[in-house]
Amino acid sequence: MEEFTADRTGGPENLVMQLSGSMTIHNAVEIRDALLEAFKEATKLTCDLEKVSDIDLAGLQLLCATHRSSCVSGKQFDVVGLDREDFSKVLECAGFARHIGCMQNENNRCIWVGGAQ
Amino acid sequence: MIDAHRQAFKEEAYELVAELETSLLALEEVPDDKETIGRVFRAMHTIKGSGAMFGFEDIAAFTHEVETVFDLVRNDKIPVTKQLINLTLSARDQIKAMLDSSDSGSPVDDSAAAALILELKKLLPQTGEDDFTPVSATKAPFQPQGNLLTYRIRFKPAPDIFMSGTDPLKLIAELSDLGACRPIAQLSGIPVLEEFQPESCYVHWDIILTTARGKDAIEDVFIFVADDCEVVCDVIDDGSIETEGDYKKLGEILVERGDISREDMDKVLSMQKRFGELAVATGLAKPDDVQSALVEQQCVKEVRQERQVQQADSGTSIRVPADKLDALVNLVGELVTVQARLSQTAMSKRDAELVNIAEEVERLSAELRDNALNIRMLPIGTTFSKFKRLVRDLSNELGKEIEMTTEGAETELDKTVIERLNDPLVHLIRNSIDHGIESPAERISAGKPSQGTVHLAAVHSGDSVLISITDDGAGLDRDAIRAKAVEKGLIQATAELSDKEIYAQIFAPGFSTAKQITSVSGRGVGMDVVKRAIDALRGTIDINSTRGVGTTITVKIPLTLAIIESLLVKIGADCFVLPLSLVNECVELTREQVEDSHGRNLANVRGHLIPYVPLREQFGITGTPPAIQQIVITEVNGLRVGFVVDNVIGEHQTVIKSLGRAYKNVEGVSGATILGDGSVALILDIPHLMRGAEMSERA
Amino acid sequence: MGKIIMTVDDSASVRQMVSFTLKQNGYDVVEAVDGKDGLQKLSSSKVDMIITDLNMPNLDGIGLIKGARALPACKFIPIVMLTTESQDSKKAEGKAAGATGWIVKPFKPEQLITVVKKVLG
Repeated sequence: MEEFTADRTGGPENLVMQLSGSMTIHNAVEIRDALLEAFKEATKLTCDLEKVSDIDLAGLQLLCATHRSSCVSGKQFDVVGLDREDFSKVLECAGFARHIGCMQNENNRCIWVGGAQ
Repeated sequence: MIDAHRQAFKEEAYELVAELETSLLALEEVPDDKETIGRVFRAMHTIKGSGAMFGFEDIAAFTHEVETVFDLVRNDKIPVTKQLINLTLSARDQIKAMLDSSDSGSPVDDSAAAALILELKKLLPQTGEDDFTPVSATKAPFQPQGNLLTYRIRFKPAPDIFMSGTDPLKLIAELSDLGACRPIAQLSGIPVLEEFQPESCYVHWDIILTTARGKDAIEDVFIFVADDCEVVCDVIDDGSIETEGDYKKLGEILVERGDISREDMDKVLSMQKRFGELAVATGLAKPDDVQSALVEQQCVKEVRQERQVQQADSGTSIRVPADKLDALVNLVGELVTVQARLSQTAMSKRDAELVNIAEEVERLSAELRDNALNIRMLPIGTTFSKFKRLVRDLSNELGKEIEMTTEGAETELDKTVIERLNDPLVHLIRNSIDHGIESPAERISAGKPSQGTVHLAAVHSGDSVLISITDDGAGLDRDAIRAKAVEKGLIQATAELSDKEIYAQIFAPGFSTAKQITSVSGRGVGMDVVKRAIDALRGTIDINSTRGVGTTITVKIPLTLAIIESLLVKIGADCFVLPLSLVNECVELTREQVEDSHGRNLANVRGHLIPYVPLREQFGITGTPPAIQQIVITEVNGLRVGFVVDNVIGEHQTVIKSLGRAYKNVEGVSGATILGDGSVALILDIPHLMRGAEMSERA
Repeated sequence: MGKIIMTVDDSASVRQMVSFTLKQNGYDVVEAVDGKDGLQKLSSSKVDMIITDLNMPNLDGIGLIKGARALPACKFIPIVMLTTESQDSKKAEGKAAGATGWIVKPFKPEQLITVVKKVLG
């Protein structure tokens, strides 16, 4: 379980947050705070998970919650670096991948649609 | 290094066993000393506990039984008696022996331990409930590997599940070790980030698991969380063979799970669109639920498909209604016919490429034909076993001692043929028992064993099967048969006939030589019926008999009734087909020969006179025969008869079509076939035509 | 990177057996003789899992579990307690204190490893 850090680059119109360390329950509070903070100013946020060492259910449901927030507030939230070999096992277990997006999302967009099926 | 632990345990155990002995002897002196009883109990408890820990399961299991008794002693449930001390001392010796044997490797006598346990159990008060169920120190054994069952597991973790150090995903990963596992997360409970408690679990799952391990194995996965989490486990596919085809409709799954009501389902259904989309669009079902139900539907479908494939693979057999096979064979028949046309057309067009294709189709359809016919093949053995019973019952009835032996029960024949063979074979066997095998007294005076034998054998011979019934009875009485045949006017008194020709008389209608009519072989209506039945199967009967030694009747039956190899011949403009299996040879018949024979239909074939039937006359075909005709010489039951045709076209694969009811009684024709050019050719009923020839010959 | 497991037991022989079995299976082991010793060691070294006996002098297993859960580093780690057959009430108490699971004594090395793999992944 590594320390979690978030490095932000870019402006509020296109904020990129490079997450690194462990996206697990141990750092869940920190991650939530970092995401909330980033969305305060940004209208578009992209989370780059490439440097994340490991992810668990707590991390996954945080991403989902963030996406929901963005839908409600009309902002854009993207996740990159999810399609990693070591994440695929976690995603498979978690069963997040789906065909139909969530209710909060009028366009039926969902980070998990077309994911690790 | 494990050995080091074992060694440590053993040293400890030897000490405890020694202490046990001392304590038991002390207990004998002072039977109600609580402290001594406690020492005995603790010693055994430790041996049991550590034994299980370090791999001495046998010692642990055995000691557990003794410990149970002493637990009762400790609680004043049963008294300390001399017998108890004796038994416990023996048990202590047994434990020591078990410890010793684990070193030497020589197995210890289990029966001694079992006997001791039995004795100890007798000391227990009879409570009705089994006090000896070993406490489950180990996990319950897995259920026997059975059918693959598919479960729907709804797993709803407590929101604070993370606080107990449990990672729900690890539980799902563990489930996936049990078998094919499809978890679908229900995410609708996840709030927006602002309301999100990072250390709570908002997700629950529907998990579709297909496993051969029982429900226990699934419950074991959730053992630590069962009290705090909602885990519902239902079998949605029980792996039984009967459940085939489609799984439940999506709407039914949702209703069954309680995600939507039946009324809502009906409401959505009435809108006539894809259910899932509608259910979501109308807001009656959550997308997660629909997603999950869809996965369930798909999983069960896959499982069932897999199972069907496996069943097909696993070889043994599948049941198919006979009419499906008949339909297949019919279609193959049509194909063979069309293929013949194709070949013919290809030849006449002289198109090399087309000929190539036609040959390929010919090869394939021949293979397909063989395969299709092969599916209908059954071993004849089932019929054989029925005959055994028949022989047993009949010989009892007749006071004869008869043993039936069989050979070649695995020989395969077309199912229809086997069915139609049953009656003729019963008749032949009855005849052997009744007329063939003598009574025990007669047999002994003839120097034979009192027990007679009927041997039933089946063997493949080319495209036919030979079924022979051999008895070691009296054999056929040539003279008696001849006399009888003459008496009945079947043959002329002066006729010179071979043995076979005389024997063949027993198949003549109305022939019976049994002096007394018995209930077994009836009233002389038997054998001609047999003959006709075999003829109908395009089979032949052959008799060999030696007076005093026995008789063998051999029935030769073509493997199948559907498609036969035949000889295609032409008379005038019409084609006819003769079963190739009956054809011996073809010879020319010139006009001079016809004139030389002075009106008698006899041909001299290499010194043998062979009667022939001019088919042109037989069927009343008008026109002039060619100068050189062909005689197709056939042989049935040792009789050779020729059939005169205009010319012989060649071999032909004949798909037999029945003539239908209207032409059922047409004589001399057993069926028809469709030729390559689409015209119809009649199949000649050779045995029938031969009989007709014999009749007219005699007249 | 091997995972670190703490075994807490006042019985040296059980500690030795647990420790040996875990090491055999590639885990690193920290040993503690009772709850108090365990908590002390937890404050200075990070572990991935705790296996603790319940009946111990100084600080018992329940106390250790509560204490460990209060430490940020141990808030979400698996804690497995060793119980005897008759200690159902203790089991419930341990669960309430934050234990992840339990192993019933006596147990065999394989069972220990099964449970460790189950909760630690």
